[in-house]
Amino acid sequence: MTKALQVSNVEKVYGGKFGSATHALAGVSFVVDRGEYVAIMGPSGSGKTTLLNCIATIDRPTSGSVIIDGSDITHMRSRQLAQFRREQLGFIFQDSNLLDTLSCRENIALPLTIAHVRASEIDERVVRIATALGVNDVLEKFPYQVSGGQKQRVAACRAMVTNPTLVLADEPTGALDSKNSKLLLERFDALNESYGTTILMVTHDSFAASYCQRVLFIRDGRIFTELRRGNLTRRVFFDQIMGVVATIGGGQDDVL
Amino acid sequence: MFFRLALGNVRKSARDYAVYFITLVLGVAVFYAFNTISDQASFLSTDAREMVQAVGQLMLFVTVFLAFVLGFLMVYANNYLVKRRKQEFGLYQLLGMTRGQVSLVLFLETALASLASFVVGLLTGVLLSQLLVFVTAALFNDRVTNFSFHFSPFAALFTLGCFVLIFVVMLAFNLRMLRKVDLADLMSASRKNEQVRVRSLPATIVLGLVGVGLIGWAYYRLTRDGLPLDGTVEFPPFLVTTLIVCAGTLVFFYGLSGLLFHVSRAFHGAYYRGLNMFTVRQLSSKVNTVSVSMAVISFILFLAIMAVSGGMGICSGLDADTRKANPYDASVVFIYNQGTTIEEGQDTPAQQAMANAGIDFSSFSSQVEYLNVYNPGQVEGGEDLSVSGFAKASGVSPDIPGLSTSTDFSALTYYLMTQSDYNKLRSLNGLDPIDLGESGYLILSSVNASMANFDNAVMAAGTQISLGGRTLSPISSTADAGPSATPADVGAWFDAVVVPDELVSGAELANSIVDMNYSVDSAKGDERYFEETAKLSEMPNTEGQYRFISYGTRNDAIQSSQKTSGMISYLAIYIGFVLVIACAAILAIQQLSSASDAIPSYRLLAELGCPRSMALRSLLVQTLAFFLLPLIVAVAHTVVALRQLIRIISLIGSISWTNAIVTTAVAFVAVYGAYFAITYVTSRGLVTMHSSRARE
Repeated sequence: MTKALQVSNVEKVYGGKFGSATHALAGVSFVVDRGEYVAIMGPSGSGKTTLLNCIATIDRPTSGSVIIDGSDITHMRSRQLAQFRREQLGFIFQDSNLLDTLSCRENIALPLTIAHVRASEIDERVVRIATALGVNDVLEKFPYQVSGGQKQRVAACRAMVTNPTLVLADEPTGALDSKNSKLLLERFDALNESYGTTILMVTHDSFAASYCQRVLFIRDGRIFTELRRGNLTRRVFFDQIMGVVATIGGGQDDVL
Repeated sequence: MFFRLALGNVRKSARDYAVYFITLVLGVAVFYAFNTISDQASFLSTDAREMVQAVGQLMLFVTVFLAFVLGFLMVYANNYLVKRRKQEFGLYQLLGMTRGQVSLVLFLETALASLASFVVGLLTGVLLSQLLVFVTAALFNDRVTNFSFHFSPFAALFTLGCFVLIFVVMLAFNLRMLRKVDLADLMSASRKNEQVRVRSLPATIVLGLVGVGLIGWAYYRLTRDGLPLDGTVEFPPFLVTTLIVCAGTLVFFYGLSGLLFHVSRAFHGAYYRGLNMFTVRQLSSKVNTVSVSMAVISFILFLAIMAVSGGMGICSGLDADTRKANPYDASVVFIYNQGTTIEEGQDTPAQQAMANAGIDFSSFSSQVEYLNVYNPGQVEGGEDLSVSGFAKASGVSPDIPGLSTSTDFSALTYYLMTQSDYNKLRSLNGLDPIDLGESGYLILSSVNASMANFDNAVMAAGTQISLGGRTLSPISSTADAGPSATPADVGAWFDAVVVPDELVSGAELANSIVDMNYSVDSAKGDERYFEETAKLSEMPNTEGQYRFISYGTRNDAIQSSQKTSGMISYLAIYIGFVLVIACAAILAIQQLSSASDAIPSYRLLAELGCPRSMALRSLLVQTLAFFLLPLIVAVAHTVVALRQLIRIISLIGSISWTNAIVTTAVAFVAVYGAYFAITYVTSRGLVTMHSSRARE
């Protein structure tokens, strides 16, 4: 069986060729198995967002390859990319990025309608995922009528309703208070357990990272180290993460 | 420093300013070009020159009016621009600029954009006016003589004046808006707290239905009552109809947003396919925010379409009518005092006068005919040959629409004409003579179509009249409504009854008529005609037997009708054009700014894996619907109103509307379509450029 994600030796260079170039990513390699729940942590400027963008097909790496579910996305063309994003990827952004003019139900249904799924099936799938994420009762409301936490969970529904190979989350708890963060992360955990959804989350929140099975730390465009939760309790795992964050520094600084 | 900031801002928001710029350019160009009409006169022949100059005067007034309209529309457009940049203006103040300084920047920006558009507009106008000379010539049925490049300083100054007017109005509104708001409001202006209220299902359906109902009711009222143009329809009910249709349009657009959504969602399968859901929601939210301005736009469009097609229709009608009312090259008509009679075989006073003056029409005419028209009153034992008399005898309703109600037309009497005089008219028109026999009569119907309907009904009913102790019956079932029914070019004729010659002997003379067709070309003929008739007007009316003589040639009549029709079409086209530009510009600005607001949505769609073609199709549908919605309502209004207009005008004369409608449609679609195309291409560029954060 293919891996959900294989990142090999990815480099990303910004800027000119004459010395002024910035190496945002300087050769990153790692693998994510199916059903894994992985966090990427690192201080500001460490390259974690660039890495996520390269995986998300939003940015193109300067060299190296990104293979999702067996297909190399670094050389895909526009039309293929659209289809690939539609079928294999789900995105969750820091600001939930819901369409204002659409109701929550319609926001969740959007990826399915784009993929021309039958209308009757759409209803069923929307309700199923909304129940799993606990937003069933706000489906008929508009994004401006629901709380930030609910919005973020609706966005998560939208990312997962297509059953993508890989769900990419960029600071999903960044704009949430601790109560809503906890609620969202617990739902992710549950979805990951019961449906085997593969989730890759970029965060600088150690608390959020402690829900994952594995945490990759990057610094200066390289993988610095990685932690596996194994059978540890979340509390212990959180302390371990805090330890690494203290070592690489900046982890708490850029919260402010 | 402020100047540089302003310049930078204009450049930066070039896209926002684009439509504003294009509209002002077109406005200035049209203002200038149409106001050069007085100067264009010098390229035309002397006859046309006078009329064209008269139109020029009228043009100035209309332009000032249109400048106001355009000014307020631009205020609205500019409002939109400023609103979108509130946060930027707030930032300037936060950075320590005073309100005065911010206002100065805004003033400089508006001035820069306006100045540039004025210059470009004037240049376009100068080019346009060169072409317009030929259009003017065509409208006034004239040819362009000695054409050369021309520039009218007066028109340029006048345009500048109107332009300054627009600019000042616009600036005043902008500055007021900037002064009125708080810094906090300015800063949070971009935060989207504009709520998309979808009103509840019953409410929108009721609103939509009420709107449609009101519009339908107004249509019904208009169809029932007609337009208050000919005096038969009263004005107050028409005003009520107008108010109803205004209210209906407003309510309809108010409810449209929700109706649109609820109706499309009823088609569950189609709604959840592709981006249909997104398209409907975007459109419905947009219609919701601009419902009032959409209603206003659809109304202005309606006025514009009516102005152009109505104006042009009336003109073509006038031309056709004039030709029909003037079947002969020239005529002379003697109008007698009451009680003028002649003995059998005696010359009429007209013939005596012409003989005394030594007039000779035959030297330049292929055919000259002398004939008389009699009043029926004095015919011995005569029936009452009036509308009411015929109505009574035939049982046909004397209700004749299109005839003025100011006179009691049912008392109007028919003239009498002898069969031999009528046959002269037929021969002038190249028709075979007819024979009434001993007891036949024929009605000549020359007034208008509704009068002809009455005459036909009278003849078809076989109505008998008695005259001179003889009973006459109609010789056919239709009246003569062709050219031979018109006794002469000059004057307004009431209908006449043709009877056997012997029955009118001793009747009171109404008119003596000379009709002629030239053997030479019409210009030469007119010249000779006026030479001859001049002799007559120099002769004293010694006997005092005729009241006066009227003269007229077909060319005269046609030229004066062309003056009117040229004037009407000129104004109609001008007004229609400016209004359409203004409407299209507003729609374009609204659509562009909402497209730029929607950029994040399109970016998200791309990230969700929506193919670009699908997103662009949705954008196209949105833009198209946005332009079409007010147009469809306007066209619906036009169809109903125009049918009434056609009905009334066709009573007065026959009109070919096809030309007018086709011309209007083509010009209209060209301008409106151009704005639509610019809008779509620009917003597509906007969406593609900014949504490509996602790798392509």
